[in-house]
Amino acid sequence: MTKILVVDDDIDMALATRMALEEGGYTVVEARNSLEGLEMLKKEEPDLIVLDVMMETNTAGFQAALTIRNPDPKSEYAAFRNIPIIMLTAIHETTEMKFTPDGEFLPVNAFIDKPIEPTKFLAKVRELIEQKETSN
Amino acid sequence: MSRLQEAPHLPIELGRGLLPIDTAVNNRRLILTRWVVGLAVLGGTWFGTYGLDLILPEGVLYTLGILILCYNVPIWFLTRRWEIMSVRTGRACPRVCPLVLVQVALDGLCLTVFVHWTGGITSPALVFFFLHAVMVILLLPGWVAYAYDVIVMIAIGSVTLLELTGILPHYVVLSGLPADLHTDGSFITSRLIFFGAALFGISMVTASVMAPMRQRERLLSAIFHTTSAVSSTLDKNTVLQRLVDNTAEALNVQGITLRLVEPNGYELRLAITHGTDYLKDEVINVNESPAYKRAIKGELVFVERYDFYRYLPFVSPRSGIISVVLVPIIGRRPLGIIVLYATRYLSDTPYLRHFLKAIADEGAIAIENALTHQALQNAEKQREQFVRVFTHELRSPVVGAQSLLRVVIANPNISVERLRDILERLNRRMDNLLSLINDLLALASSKARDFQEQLKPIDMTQMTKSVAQDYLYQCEEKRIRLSVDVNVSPIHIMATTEGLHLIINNLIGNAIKYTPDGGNVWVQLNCDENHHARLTVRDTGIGIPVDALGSLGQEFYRASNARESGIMGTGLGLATVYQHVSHLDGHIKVTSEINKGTTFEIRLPTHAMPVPN
Repeated sequence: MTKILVVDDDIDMALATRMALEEGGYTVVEARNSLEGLEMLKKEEPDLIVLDVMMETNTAGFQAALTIRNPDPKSEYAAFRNIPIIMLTAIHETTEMKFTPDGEFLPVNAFIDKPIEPTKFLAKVRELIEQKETSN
Repeated sequence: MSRLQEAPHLPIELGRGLLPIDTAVNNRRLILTRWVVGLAVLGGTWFGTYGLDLILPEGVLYTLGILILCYNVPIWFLTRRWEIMSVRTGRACPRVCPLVLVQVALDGLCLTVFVHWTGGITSPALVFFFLHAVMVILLLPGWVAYAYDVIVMIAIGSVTLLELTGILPHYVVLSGLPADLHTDGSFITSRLIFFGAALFGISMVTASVMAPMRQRERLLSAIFHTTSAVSSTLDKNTVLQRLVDNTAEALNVQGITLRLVEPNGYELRLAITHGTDYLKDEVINVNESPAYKRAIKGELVFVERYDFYRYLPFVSPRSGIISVVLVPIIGRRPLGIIVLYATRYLSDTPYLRHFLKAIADEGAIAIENALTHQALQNAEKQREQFVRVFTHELRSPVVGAQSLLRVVIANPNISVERLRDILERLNRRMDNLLSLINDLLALASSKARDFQEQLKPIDMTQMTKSVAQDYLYQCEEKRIRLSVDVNVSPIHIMATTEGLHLIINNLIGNAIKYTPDGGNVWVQLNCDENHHARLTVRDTGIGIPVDALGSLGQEFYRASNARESGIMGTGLGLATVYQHVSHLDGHIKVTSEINKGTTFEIRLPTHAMPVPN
């Protein structure tokens, strides 16, 4: 069964995400902050991560994504480097980190705008999971 | 190229000893004079021969005139090219000076030849050397002029000697003079002595006029450069560095330091150095030096070597420094002190005082401009941060609620229990949103109304319990143990409901917000010995740095660790608390330890309620 890790400090957002994903037939594990998220990643070995941006810091989500994508082969998370990541955010919301959707480096596979639209969200999750399976 | 650029305007340039601007302008004058001289030699020879019936060596003199005109052509051409170049690059061409030296040498040689062919020591043309000597002083620094005088004396002496001994022929131009006058010892001696004395006299007089003029031009130029630096950039350090460099070059001093007054008003911190810094200390206390103490009060202070031990204990008398000048920079308050170290005696003249005052005023403008600019930038940054945080805080409750609603709509088979849970969550989110909006309104209205609302007795006990109750869910979420120890009997204080709620709500809310998961928050309310209500909110949170404790009442202020922690905040909550507490004649005491926790203690005067009959 496909397992998805949801990292969000907002319990209501996390519930909405969980319900949408469970409706699509996925198993969901939750973490409340980026550190817990990274721990869960190693423990649960999910197939996809849904990350919030602003958690314990304004850019905690981005930092977590960068940690996972770290190209260093000795990285703790080297095994998960290619895991699909969906970032839940309002990309137009000003953060202290200047990221643009067509920027030269993005540590994530997709941005989904908050509030989430369950159908679109699930479609994106399915697309990424399928991509991952074909590439395997 | 536009007309304006072509105009012979040369940039003012500073130099040591020589001023190329001066030289460049006079160089043009020299070239012009040479055209006239060349033509005058040609015309004069013709007129002397045919008009005055003089016996002139026509051929030689015509050749000389043409030669002068000829070598003037490349000089004129080169100078013009360099001028155009220097206008383009904005710098005077330093090669003007060697060119002037070459010209002086050529002219001197031609003049000597002219003198020889017009009678040597008896030549009436000898006086032209005086004119030439003046030209040299206008163009070149004093020592060159004296060297020129010596060379001229040697040249004339040699010509005279060679003519006397018959090695060179002697030409008689003025027929009235005795033919053997050039061999008359007493004539030669007296002529050479008078000529030499006049030549050196002219050089000395002209040089003594020129030197202060050059110095003034240097000072003016330094002020000009400093002013343009002040108006060209807002970067304080760039301006001050240029100010100090220009001053050092203009006054030819060995070292300059610029120290800025620290916020405490009695310490000076090193900001800019030029040349040797004779004081190694980064920060100096003005009270340790009488000279600094006087300067900080706005006085220009000149100190000489023998007074160092008394006025400037920091400067060693063995450092080679003779004079030290302290120039205060005074804006709306004392801003700093410029200190000049010179290995020569700097005399206290009104002109130097005016110059130093002008430089210090420019410095004051630069510093104040920079401070204003910095304050504006900080305000802008704070505003941006404020907008960012509030956008996020206002959006979050709505975004979460909307996401839940959409999931419910998309899921027709949702259970009643789940639906109920979601409705409760939505309700709570709306409550949060409302309280956030209320906070904003409270801030806006407390500012607008300026606390004009009538105070009435309010039971603080009840209010504290109710506020603490509102936070139970949040504490549960963060696994924070909230202990509430509140007096059973009511404690009445004179306040407005909104005002008191805001105080208690903010303190408890902050305690929970800045306490990591699993921590503790204690809320205690009782009456102290002076019948004041004492509300104590203690937490095991991130704490507040000691240096931030004094600024907590400032709007938008957030302690560094709070900002870095990433915990959302606007820096408005505590500011409003401070405003309200002071309005209610209360006091706030904060004690904190980083990563251990914070205790806020608020005392408010109680109101004795009339006992009901």
